[in-house]
Amino acid sequence: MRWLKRWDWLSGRPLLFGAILGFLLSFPFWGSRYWVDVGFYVGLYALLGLGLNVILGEVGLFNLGHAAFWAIGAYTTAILNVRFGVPTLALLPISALVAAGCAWLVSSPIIHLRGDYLCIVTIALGEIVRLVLINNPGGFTGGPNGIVGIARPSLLGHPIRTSTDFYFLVWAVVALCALALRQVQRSRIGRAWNYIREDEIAAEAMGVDVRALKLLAFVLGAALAGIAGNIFAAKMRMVSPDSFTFMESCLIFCIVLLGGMGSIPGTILGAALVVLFPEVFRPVAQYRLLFFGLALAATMYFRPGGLWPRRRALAAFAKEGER
Amino acid sequence: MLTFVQQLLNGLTIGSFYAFVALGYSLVYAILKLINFAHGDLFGLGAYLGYTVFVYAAGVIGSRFGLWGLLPAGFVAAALGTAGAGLLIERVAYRPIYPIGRLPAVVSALGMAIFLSNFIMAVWGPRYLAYQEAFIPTGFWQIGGFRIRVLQVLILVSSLVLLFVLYYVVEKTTFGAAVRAVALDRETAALMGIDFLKVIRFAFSVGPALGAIAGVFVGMYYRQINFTMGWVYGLKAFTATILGGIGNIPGAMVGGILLGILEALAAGYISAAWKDVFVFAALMLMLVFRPTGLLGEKVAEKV
Amino acid sequence: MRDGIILETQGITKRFRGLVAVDRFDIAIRERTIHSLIGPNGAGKTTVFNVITGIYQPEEGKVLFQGRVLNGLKPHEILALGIARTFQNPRLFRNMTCLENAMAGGHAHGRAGFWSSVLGLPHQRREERAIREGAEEWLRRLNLWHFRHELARNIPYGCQKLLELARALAAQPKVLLLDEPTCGLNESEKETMMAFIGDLPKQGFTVLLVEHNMNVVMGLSDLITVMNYGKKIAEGTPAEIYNDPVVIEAYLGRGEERAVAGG
Repeated sequence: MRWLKRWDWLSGRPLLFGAILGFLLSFPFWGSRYWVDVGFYVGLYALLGLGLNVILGEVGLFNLGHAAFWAIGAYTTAILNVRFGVPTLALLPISALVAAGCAWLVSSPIIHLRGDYLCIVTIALGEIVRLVLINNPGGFTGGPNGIVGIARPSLLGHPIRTSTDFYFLVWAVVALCALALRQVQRSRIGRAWNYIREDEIAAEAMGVDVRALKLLAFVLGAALAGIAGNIFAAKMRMVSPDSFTFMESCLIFCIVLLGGMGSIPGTILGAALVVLFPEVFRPVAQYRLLFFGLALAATMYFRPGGLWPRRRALAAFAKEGER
Repeated sequence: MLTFVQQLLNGLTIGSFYAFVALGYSLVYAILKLINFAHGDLFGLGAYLGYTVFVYAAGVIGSRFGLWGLLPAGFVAAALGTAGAGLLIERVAYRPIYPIGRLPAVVSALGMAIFLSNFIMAVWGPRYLAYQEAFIPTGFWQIGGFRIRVLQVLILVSSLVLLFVLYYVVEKTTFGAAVRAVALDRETAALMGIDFLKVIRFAFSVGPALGAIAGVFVGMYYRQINFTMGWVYGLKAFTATILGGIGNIPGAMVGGILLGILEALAAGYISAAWKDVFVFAALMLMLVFRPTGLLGEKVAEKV
Repeated sequence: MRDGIILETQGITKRFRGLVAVDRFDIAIRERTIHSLIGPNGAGKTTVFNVITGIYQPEEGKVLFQGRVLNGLKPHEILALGIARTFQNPRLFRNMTCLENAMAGGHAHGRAGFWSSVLGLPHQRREERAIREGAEEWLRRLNLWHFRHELARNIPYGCQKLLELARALAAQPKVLLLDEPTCGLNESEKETMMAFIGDLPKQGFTVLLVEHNMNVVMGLSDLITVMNYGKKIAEGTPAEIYNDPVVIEAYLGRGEERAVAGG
């Protein structure tokens, strides 16, 4: 099995990226509706993964409650659309802002916690959000049944309705976010995030405002989850607390680590694996999550840095070429 | 006043469950600095093993020795089986991975948690199983206006005894000193000739065994078990671990009992639906103001 | 600022759970000099560094930099004012390249925020280039150029110490605090490091040096401060310190050991 560890996944990089892009763009035109829906979920989880990747992958903050921000985005969309009639697509930036604002509020007092302590607080946070949604304060969240009847979004008068429409919506957002995050990775902000992950005290001694940058990462990651929440609510046309369990937070966490901390293509690959795994194992439906658990452990054994880790040296060479 | 005493008693009982499970988290964390996410599901496995033994042994042991013969058999079998599962998980999923890094180990632990809960579902099915009355001590004492169930007394007494034994082993014996030495500094402990693997095996057998006992008790107390119970109790017990100060045995006990009482009082006086929100909010507040837990020591980071 | 003193502490005290690590300690560092801080293990030298750089807040006393009080400032604010440091054991960003490590020095001087980075605005690109060129400059001067795309954890220990120095220098500090820069280096690496440090005042840097190796201290220092049990016990030129009976008593132990420690 040694070859698995050493296998160079990246020879022929542009070719690989081209092939992936071609596949993603053409897929809805030959794939069945069922698989286009699966493709939509890959995109949705990729978006969630990209958000957590900023927090966990770039800065190294253990966040096992990411589903909370996803839920906040989805419920913002649901409540404002169903109760106040705000168009669903217009709520996309608003959901991002609300999720980001909540993240800023709750993470400000806890951001100084380290490692496992932060991890536990985020778990608690995720549970609090889910329980509040179930308990239906002020009749706003619809309790355990959630909220139904979210209007379909429409883009310039063209309704986003079919599986294919949603597929392209989510992947367009993923592509935009991935490009934006790549830019940040190559800036002083992205490097400072990594400095914090590698050695917080040294980073601070080198002039990195650790607190501000950690908060930025949290807020940004939550904003992406908020966007994912909006798209999810629009696609399902309903939201309920069941969708935002601790298990979901765990899955998003695993997406980032499966792909490779701080690796954007890795995160997208991780999302694909986590979503596709149960689909591929559908014939043995009862045992598929059982195998999934084993596969997680096995991946960490054979490729502890993830399946598509970020190549530091390579990235630096590429930058040199641009000059 | 009556409600208060009744709620306090309920809280103590639930708190004992949490304390049992919390000890397993705390032991492993002290030694490996790893949150063993699979521990909650080992607790669930214990409940199912106990159930199975009760069902199949009821005819053989129960008919000959009665309920008080059946109970020890169920507890011992559940504890042994779960300890075996704990050791197996350590060997297969943690030992090869924890030298690589902490994050891969966390993912592996999450993977094992998913594996175990789905394993339970695959073997025993996704529906609730009922602990039948034949396995449960159902007597109670009526004192004044409130009742004390025999089962509650059994739970409280056995938790006190077992926790005291564990405390004694870890704090007062030579082997316990080895465990504490490994917890403080694994490399120095190894240089001093302490068998690291032995300490690990201790943590991964005793922790799950205690968890299994709690699992069987939970089955008896609530009369039903489900494959998701590991997540639910695991999360609460983990909260208890943090409340008391992670990696600290008396802390885990105190945290567990405290959490149980807090939860029972919140359910009795505030609202049953909001009790968990209350509990988790208390956890967050405590971490903000005293991040190392109630009994944890303040550690300054060396620069 | 008086008499060209760039950095000074006035009666700083730092306690850890009742244990006094630094006890009413004064030190005044003259601009463009190499000032050494020596003392036995546990004398409180590193704690002085941590107080100056804002990692610890002193219970009493003041830290003054160019006449400005540093108390209450965070480490990153202190670096931005012009005080950079290295650590006793290199604290590099191990999974990043040497170039990225050195570029950390430029971080504090950058202004580009999140959105200008996303959009790649012209001023952000200019700034990136400046940060990068500054880092490359120091990598070249410290002979680390060939390692620039290596991960920091993969280069030899001696080079890691040099890289940490490059990182600190890339921050364009006025004062450089070096915590045992030659510790763990072999003879030839030691000489390279000494020559480099000795040259720093000419380039406009002020150095505060903590060091155990007496050759290094005696050879480089303009002024030496000796501390023991958190207190200053002596101060003077290398020649004065070398002959000071208090220092010999407290720091070097008995007289016979002097030859060993000094040689």
